[in-house]
Amino acid sequence: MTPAATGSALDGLDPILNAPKRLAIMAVLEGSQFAEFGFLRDHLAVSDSDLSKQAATLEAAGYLTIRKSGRGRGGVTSYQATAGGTAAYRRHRDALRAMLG
Amino acid sequence: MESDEARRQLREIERGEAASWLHFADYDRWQPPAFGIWASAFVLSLALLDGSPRSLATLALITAPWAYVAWDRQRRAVYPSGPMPPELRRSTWALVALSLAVAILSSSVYFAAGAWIAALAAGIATAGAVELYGRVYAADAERVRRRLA
Repeated sequence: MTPAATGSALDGLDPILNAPKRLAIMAVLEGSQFAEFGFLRDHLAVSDSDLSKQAATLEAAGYLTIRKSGRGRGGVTSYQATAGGTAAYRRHRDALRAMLG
Repeated sequence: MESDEARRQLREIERGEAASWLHFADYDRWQPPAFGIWASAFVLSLALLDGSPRSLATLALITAPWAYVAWDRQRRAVYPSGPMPPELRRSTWALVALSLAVAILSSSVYFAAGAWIAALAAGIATAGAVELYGRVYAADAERVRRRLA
């Protein structure tokens, strides 16, 4: 791979998505219409608080939306990727693939 | 970024993108017979009813799968979209082929033996096709899990 190509690939890498847990969240949402809190927590094997923190970071970046339905123990929190989040995720994924040729 | 780190991230991406499709592999025991009953009812409504009752029954039976999909989407913790893992394409083709086979079988039996026998054949064939599709999907999903483990 030429240095120019490597530099170009690195340009697509997203610092927010370099964190493995945030990348994994966006990967699940890329293959889903939505994902609930419990599903993401189990997939990532993280604590409730850790998932909440990572999701809040992605929400603040405009990469996902958080929807809460119901209240108390029966309440469900679900996540959906935004168009901007999907675009950033795909750029990051493409940059990774380009790096590896 | 190191190549190893890039590879690790791409692996995580593959696991994540496949997750909803693997979750979808779970299906309930009642689904094959329920789809079978639906297929039998469809054949009977087309063969035995006329006029408005036939139109209403057909409309209801066409609406039922949409209602099922909406309900299924509601009850799941995640719902797949986008490209499926390549291993699962076999089950999609199996579903298409099985649906065609059931339609051809039901029509043939109808012309050869009448509405009630055709409804019975459609019901049994549909239940069998749904069961087979579920098993093929589950087996393919297991292949995806092994690849991504």
